[in-house]
Amino acid sequence: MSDPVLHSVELTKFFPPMRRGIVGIRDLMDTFRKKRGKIKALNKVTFDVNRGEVFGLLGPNGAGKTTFCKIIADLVIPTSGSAQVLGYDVIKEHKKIVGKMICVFGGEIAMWGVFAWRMSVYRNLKFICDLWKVPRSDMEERISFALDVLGLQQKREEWYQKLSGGTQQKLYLALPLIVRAPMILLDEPTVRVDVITRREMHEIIKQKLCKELGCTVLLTTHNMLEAERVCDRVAILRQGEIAEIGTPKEIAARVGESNFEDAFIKVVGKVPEAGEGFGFGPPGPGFGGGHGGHGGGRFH
Amino acid sequence: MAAQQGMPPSRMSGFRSELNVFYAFFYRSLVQQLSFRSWFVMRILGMFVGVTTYSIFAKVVPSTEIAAQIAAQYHLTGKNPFLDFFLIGMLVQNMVALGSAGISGLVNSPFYPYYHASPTRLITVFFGNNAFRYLWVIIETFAYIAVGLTFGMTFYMNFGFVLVLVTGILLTFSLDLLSAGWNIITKTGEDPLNWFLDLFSRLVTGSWIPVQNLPNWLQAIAAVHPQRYVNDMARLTIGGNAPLREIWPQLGPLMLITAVITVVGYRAFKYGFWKARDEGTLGHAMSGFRR
Repeated sequence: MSDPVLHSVELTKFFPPMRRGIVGIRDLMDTFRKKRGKIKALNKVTFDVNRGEVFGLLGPNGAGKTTFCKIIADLVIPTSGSAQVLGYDVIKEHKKIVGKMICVFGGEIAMWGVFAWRMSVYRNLKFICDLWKVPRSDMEERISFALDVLGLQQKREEWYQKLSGGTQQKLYLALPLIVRAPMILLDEPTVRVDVITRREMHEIIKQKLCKELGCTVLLTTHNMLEAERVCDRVAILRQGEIAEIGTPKEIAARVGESNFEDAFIKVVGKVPEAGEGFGFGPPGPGFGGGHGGHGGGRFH
Repeated sequence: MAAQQGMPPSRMSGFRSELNVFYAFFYRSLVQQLSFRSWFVMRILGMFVGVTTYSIFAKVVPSTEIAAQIAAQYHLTGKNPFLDFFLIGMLVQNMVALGSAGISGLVNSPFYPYYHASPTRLITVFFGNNAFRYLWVIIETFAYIAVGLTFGMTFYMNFGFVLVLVTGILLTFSLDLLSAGWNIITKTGEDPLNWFLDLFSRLVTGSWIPVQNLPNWLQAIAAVHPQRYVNDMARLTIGGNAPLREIWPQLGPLMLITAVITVVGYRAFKYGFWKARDEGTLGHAMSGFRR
């Protein structure tokens, strides 16, 4: 078996406690009293993603999915452990990975900065070609290929802002289709699209990106049906730790459920009661959603 | 297509590809700006009306006493010393603004993660992202000069002025680096040092009012405001045609201060960048950020 494209070894991240107030005197006093705990986002996350597979990273809000993606993209420094993409350390050798990996953040970090609102779809894609240094000779072919695959050829000359929200989201997939990086990181790519577009996007990820272009995909999602349909294997994160890993069918069988969504709920261990919410909770286990999207509520 | 499988993607490399990215950024900004046609035309007209207003103001406020003081202090050779004093101040303030807000604006924007993950160098992204703004400042500068000359402004172009201008731009850039280091952590959009300097910039830097005509306590603030020295030297060179050796006693220390602030700013920025990555807030928008 060939080397894994993504290799994560005991990747751990504890975020420093949130700053409170304007002056920070409370923070300072609590620091001296040693009251302020760090927030656990990831704890010893270990898994491999093999070449050509779609690997799903699942978990409830605040489980650490986006934090993991941000570490891979060198946007967050891990506390300990390491991760490698194509054999390069994601933090120490980030410069060797750029261009070989592309990250599409559909969830927390929006895409609207890369796509200029009052510019045509074609011009926007050309800009992406330049930014990712696609050879000039290949540009037209790659843009046409992406637009054909996405079924957006007729929207070529339309301004990005005139596209519907779902189409704008769908256009995110043009990035990996154009750049054709060996490693693709898709963070909640179908978060705002309707079920038909979602199905189309599943096909694109599976057939075009993986089978045709030979890319490896790490995908995060909250949609269990999507995970079942698209992912070869999945890992379920619970409070920053890997709770289960395997194919969706294997996991469902392992926890004794007939469908994957029920299995997922059983694994993550909690169904919110009516009115319970997912706020930034007191110390102790819980879901937590505060602190800018990374796992809040789990003090260490 | 199969040839792509498992292989790193083919990419352009070298200076030419960076130039392509720079142009792509510039073109994108231009298309965006020109897409607001009426607003763009109004902006151009507004710029000329603004510059003309300053010129008229400077021309109709010929206080002979102050004008004589100004002419003596800056060795101004023109017929209307206050006009020269005022327009050169505005012109220089406009030009040194080239160095401001570029780094903080870029690194704190929510689209930064995409640039960070792209193979384009950050310096190209920085200059490309600001290219349109640079063009706009250059157009404004020419407008200042053209309208100023029409109203009788004196304008000497000499090497001393070029050095003053470069130092002024570098100083603003290094202050922006310092600011970026602060903002990247706090997301406030304003750091105390630059806030202080901006707060008093019109009052104590001699842009509008000669420093010696200010109350003593404001003169004390003016003494530590670096922009004041840039303005003074610009007036000596553009309006008084002073040679480099004449301004060197002021320019030398300013260059030294600029170098120190650049080093401190770079360290602050590096620390801020690291801290934001540690806290996981890189790419989180600054307060008040609007698309």
